[in-house]
Amino acid sequence: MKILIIEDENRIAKRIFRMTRDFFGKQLKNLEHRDALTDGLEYLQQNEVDLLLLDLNLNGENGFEVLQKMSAASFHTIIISAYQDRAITAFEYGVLDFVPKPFNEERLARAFQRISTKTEVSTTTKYLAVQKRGSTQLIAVADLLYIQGAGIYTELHLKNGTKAIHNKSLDKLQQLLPDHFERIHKSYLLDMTQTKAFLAESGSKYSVILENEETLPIGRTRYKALREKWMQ
Amino acid sequence: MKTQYYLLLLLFLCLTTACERSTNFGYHWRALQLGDDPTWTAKDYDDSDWDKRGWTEEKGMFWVRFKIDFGEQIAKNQHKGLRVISLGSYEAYWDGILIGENGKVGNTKQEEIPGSFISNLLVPDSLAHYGSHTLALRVSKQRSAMLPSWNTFYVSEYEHIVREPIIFTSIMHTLAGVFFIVGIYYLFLSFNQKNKPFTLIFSLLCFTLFALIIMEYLKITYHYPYPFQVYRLSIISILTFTSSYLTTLFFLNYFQIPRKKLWNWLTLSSLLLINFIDGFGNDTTAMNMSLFMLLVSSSISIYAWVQQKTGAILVFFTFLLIAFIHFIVEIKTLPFLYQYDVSLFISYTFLIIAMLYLLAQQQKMERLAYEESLLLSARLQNDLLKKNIQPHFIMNTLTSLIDWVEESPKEGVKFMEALAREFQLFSKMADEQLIPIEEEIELCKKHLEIMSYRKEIRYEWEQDVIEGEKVPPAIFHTIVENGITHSLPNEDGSIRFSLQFEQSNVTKIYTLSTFAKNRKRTLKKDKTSTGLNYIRSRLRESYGENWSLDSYETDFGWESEIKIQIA
Repeated sequence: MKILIIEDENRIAKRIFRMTRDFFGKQLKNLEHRDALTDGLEYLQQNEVDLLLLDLNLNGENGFEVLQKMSAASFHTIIISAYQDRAITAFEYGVLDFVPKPFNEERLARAFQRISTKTEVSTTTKYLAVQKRGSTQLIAVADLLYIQGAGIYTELHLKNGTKAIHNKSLDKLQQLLPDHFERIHKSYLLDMTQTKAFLAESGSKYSVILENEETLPIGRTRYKALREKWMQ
Repeated sequence: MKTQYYLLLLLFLCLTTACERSTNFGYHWRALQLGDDPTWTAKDYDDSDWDKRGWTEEKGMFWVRFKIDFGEQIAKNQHKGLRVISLGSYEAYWDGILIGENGKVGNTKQEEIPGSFISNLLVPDSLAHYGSHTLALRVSKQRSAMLPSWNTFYVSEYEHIVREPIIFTSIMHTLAGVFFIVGIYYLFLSFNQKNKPFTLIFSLLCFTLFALIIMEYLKITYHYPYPFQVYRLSIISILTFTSSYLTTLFFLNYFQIPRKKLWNWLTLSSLLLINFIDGFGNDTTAMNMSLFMLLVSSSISIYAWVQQKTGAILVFFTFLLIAFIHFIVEIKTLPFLYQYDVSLFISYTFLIIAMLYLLAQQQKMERLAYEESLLLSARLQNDLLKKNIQPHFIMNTLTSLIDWVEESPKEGVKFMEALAREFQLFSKMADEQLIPIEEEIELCKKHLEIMSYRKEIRYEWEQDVIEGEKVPPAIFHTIVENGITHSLPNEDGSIRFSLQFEQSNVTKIYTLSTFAKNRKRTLKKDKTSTGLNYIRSRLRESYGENWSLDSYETDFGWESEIKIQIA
């Protein structure tokens, strides 16, 4: 686990530092702290991280514009901020969790747990940010049809027929997206509201037909459960 | 204002009805002859070689003969009466028969008893038949040498002659009453508005107009002896002069015309010049002074209009209306006795209404400005309190505080004490517009203490000795906040703040320097300007426009300078 903390108050940074180390223990490969946005962004350009812990108001600068950029990145972001009223917006942009200040060890641990397990709380992500020709664009979750895994990247297939590349893995996106996005296959994440019919062909070949007549494969082990859950 | 409006309407109605009812007839012949001869009473005496100007500058005895034709119209009147205006005592002979005396005609000043300037005569019905008549006045004018003689009359229904001027005067007196009350009201207001000279000017103008009406209609309310006429005219002349001057002065002041003093003197000297050229105390002078006032004041209103000042358009159109009224009255030829006075007073009534509107506007603007200042103060108070409870401050502080308490409780307690003291200071100064500098400095120090717990940076404070000064609350605190936000510590790990104070006869200068490295900014700066806006609003609240604020980067960090001019 490689983690970066961007927090402008030393005492708070130290607290996060301590609690993060306690939680991850030996899993932790690298833990860094930067006290300004510029330094943090610079670090992210040169180093690979798995998790970013970000304060939204840094040295009088509003970190929200940066948040869009961060949510397009391959790593998960957890916001630790005093501005609790910003939580809803933060979730819409696809952050893993929003930890309001002041926080304790327990609350931070709960946020960390979201990395490994999808929580029962349904997420409210409304946009996925993607990097396109250097700028960040927002894609509404409502426009998504399905997502195809492509190595460390993913391919977003939209209802209007266009595609976009996202830097997060299929696993990470699944954690962020609402519950009606199901993993139908190790390479596919589908918006189940878009399914028309399930198909069981000979030779244990399973697939699903979408509203737009497109067909996607369903993993053998997943077929039964999915069919039961979504064909009612 | 409503009352005035109705009064005006009433005035108009009365005027028009008065016009319709009055069937006044004048003579078609007037001639004057110096001397005294009893045969001049005769109806058919040949006076064709007499002086047809009808007036003389000589003192002493003279006769004035008038000829008048009674036609169908006048024959309708039941009892005919004469309204005689005479600058001299007289005996009146109607068709050779003595019908009245005014004072006692005398050959010398001692013999003469001055008669009224205006007098009414009843023509005996037996002598008021259809056809031509002669009125011969035997006049003595042993007084009022500076005025030429003046004798004239008109004929009408006797009752009408007696009543009509009094009705008319009563209306004018009502108007005078309004002017008087408005004058008193604005006089009282002016006591509290020393910085607005036009309030007092307006009040004086109202009193002047009141006096002008009273003096003008004295001819009707008080049938004064003719020698008084010269004094009355002088007083009217002075009052006309004053009202013309005050009107101009009002607009000069109200619209804040540049080089006011120069224009003031020009107006005054022009009015004096008019008196010099046209002579003091006559109607032409009065008319020209009013005309001058009209021209200058309407020019001022045009200038103010161009400058887009409130109410200028209204004033301009009022002047246009006045010019129109003047024209109408002139054309309609109301009874010659009132012609000019009527248009003057109607005009002034409209002008006073326009001025009242301007003053009301002024009061409205003042009230708005006052309300705005209250609002500003309330907003600033709110801003100050918000500094304490805004989430960024309170939540971050609490997070640090929890950590201190968990890790090293003793330090945590000190942190809490500093925080408590800052809260205490904030709530103490929340209601104040100005606070002792000592409190402000303590606030800054406490804030630095809190921030040193949070940021774990060594914040240092140094200052000049400043005693007994007062400053708006939390202005240096705001600069310190900005300094903390935008600074990186020096090599030795410190960020140092230094407050200097300089005072001269005219200014007080506070300089707050931050010795630190400035942070690079990635995004638009927005927080800084909000902070500076707070300081600016506070300075404006307490010092109006007599201050300046400079905030700039320096080699050693940052510097903010607040300069306050001493009134």
